[in-house]
Amino acid sequence: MLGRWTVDQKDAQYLGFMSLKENAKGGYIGAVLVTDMSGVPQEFRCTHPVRATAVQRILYGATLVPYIGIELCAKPLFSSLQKKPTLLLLAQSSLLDLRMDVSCPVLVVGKAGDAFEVKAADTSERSAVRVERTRFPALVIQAHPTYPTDQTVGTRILESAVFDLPEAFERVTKAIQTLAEQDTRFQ
Amino acid sequence: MTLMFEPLPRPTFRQGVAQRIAPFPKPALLGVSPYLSDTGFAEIAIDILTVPQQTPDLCLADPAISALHVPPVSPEVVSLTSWFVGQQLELPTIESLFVPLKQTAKAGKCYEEQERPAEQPIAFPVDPDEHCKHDLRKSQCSICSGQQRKAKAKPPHPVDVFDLIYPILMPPLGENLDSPLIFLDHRPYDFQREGIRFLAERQAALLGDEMGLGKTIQAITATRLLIRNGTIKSALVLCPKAVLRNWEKEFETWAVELRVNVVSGAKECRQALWKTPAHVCLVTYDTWREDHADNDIPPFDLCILDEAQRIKNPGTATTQAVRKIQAKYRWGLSGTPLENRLEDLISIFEFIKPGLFRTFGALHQAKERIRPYFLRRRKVDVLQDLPEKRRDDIWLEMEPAQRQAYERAEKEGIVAISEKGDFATVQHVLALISKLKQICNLDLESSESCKLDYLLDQLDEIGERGDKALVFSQFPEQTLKHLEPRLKQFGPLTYHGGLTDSHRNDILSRFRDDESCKVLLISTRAGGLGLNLTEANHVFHFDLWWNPATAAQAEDRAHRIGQRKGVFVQSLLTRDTIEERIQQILEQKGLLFKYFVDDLSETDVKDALSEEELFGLFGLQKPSGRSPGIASPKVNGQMSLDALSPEAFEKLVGSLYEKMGYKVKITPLTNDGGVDLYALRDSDAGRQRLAIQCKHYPGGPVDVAIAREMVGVLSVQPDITKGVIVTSGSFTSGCADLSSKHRIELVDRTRLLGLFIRYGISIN
Repeated sequence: MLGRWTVDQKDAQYLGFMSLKENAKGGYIGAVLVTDMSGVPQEFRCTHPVRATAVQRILYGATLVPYIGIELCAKPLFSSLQKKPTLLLLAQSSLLDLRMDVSCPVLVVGKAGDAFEVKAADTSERSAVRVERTRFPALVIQAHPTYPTDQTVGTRILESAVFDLPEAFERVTKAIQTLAEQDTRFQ
Repeated sequence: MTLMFEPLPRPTFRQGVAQRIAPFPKPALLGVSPYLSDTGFAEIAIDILTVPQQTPDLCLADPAISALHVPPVSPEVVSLTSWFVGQQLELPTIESLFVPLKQTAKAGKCYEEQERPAEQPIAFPVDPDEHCKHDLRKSQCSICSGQQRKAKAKPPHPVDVFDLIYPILMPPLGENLDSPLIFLDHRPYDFQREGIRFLAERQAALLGDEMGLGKTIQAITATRLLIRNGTIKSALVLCPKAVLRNWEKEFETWAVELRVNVVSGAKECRQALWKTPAHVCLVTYDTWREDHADNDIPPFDLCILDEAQRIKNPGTATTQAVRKIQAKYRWGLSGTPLENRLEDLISIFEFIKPGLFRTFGALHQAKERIRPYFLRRRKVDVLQDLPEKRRDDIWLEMEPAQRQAYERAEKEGIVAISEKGDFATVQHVLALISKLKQICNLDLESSESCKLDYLLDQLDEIGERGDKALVFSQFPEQTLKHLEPRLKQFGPLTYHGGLTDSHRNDILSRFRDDESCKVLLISTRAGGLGLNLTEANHVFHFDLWWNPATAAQAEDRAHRIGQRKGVFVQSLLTRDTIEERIQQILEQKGLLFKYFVDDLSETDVKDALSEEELFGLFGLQKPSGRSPGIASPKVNGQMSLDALSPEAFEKLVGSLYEKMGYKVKITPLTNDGGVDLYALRDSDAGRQRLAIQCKHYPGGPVDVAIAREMVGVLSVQPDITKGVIVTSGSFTSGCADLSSKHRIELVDRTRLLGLFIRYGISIN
């Protein structure tokens, strides 16, 4: 298990926003943004692009994205965080198995109405739930089937967040784009 | 015997048989031709065929088979060996096509962490919680607390790419700029929101709001908006020198998350600053004119021209330099009414929107053409959004000669107060403050004044609009008197306490009735109370007293019943001076907030600055504040220290270092090798060995030659931790420069006296 998490960590609650992006050159960049409950950034980390060759793409097949996403990006990124999030939110359900390696609750989050990127085989056991928010658009969340309580715990934590959560993923995307423009390491 | 057989058509067959055949029957001849038909043989020749011979006793003798020879018919023999070897199959190479994907490097930043450079060990360690380097309690030292604030406000260099993406990671400002997280205490007015949107939505824009409506903050917020949403990465702001620091301050207030580089100073320094990554570069028009051709200057996505009328003349070098800027977004700000000056507009828009006026006709056509890119609001248009009185602090950077004069006066003043020892009073401090504030207003030697430069710019606009202004200063003789001739074009009048009543009334009448009199210079004490000057709606505090209520009362000369316009108050303040330190203390105490939000009564600020705080403004300790257990040094005046002989001075310095915990060894008076004292101390940090040179120069500075001598000592004695030069006078800048590059510490008179006080060293 990576990191430490306790439910009583009231003084410093942080949200983690983890995402895997494919860039123009076919490289995959994992990134995580940690914010406070107002959305103010506390920490941001990302990987250099992981590029799979044509042969690797064929041989890894359907496991390519989850492998890159979880093993090569998400786990190392989560380990490197100095501020461990109270709740980790994912942009892609392909990363959801990260839950097996971290101790904090993990949810896939999207705007209500947006379809999750979920394999047909998985939908039966990983069902998305709609969460209404008073000041912000409704969300859909999805927990790992092995950790069904994440849904309840996560929803409770999300109640104290005072910003539009999926918007934070847009920031991550823009940040990755800007990094690529300004630093060749991220191209 | 050779038997020839009947030749066969093909192949021929010959057979040799034994001569003696009988009594055996002739051997049957085998027709072999059918068997040979598919072969390459035409005939088989049998040269000799020996058959068993019959002996006389009719026994068969051993047959003598002589030979059976079938000569080949020279078949063509083809060697296929080499071909066959070439066709031989080999074992294939087994390739591993699977190369597992590997983890890549990761990078990032924790934004709450501020990396601090490792602190250097110091020769005179002090309790960090108790004393600063000025030998004062930290809570009382304004210099140190000011530096700490600045250090906190400005993250340390170098900047990495994760600092630059920080604004992008911040929550978005939103379409309506109405998020409570965006501005916190600073909220723009509705018309300012409109201006912000106007700028942010246009790549070419000229914001021509009247002075006082906040063009600067609208431009800053629009810049912030574009950077935050990732539309632009960097911005260049060109502005007049007088407001360079004010832009910096406004960025700190309105866009605290943006990295701002103020590009100024010497050429080498500027080159380094251009290379330093930042979201915003602030630069004066003059500096840009000098630097624009440098290769070190990065491209900018946005260029803001403050006081855009600076490029109204297309032939000037400044205009030409500005037109070299290749930015996607180009905004101009100008409070000067430009809409009726066609030529000015054309020149400005030639940068903002090149080609817009390639063809044009009459003025009304030009106005129509610029309409999408031009926004101008007058105060009367937005008055309902404005408070009756608006206050702004304008932070200005002193001119070089002015700065030099200021620093010289401050240094001399501190030394003079220090030497007074127990006899130093708060009056001495107040006198020094007054002297320094006068230099902040105007350096009489060089006639340089950043405040006056700013005032002149502002009065240009005010005069054009037909408004009038009041300029308050507490120094009628040292400031107002010198301003009047330089404001001649605005018909200045001066109102001070030295005037007779009739003269005063005459001045007030002229100011009220004469349209050519645009500015009234008023002594704060003489005109701060009782006057009714609602003809003016602009108030400039050329200087502020520590009591903010005094300023508030002065402003009420214009802001009172009868005033039909909004009143705009600007306090002119200089950066890195006593003015900034006083403001910081007032701010800490919440007095400035009260001043800006409420009207402050005199009693609120009766004790605005304590005596300790006043002494602390200069890194000095209030004499009566010394701890009673420590004997007061008798450094009451210059004579007591100056009267010492060089030998006595050395011994005194030796005593000081002994008190500081060192073992001190005094070298012979002559041939001391450039070292008067060696001081040795063992501490947790290791053994410290100091080489101390004492220079009893009460009348003058220690020059660079002494520092050079110390450099020589350090080079031949590598076991010396640090060289120290102690003087009863001061140091030249050359000496200070050289020492800063080597491990040499300088202790001047002021500091020495402070150490004497702290360690209870008596001169007698």
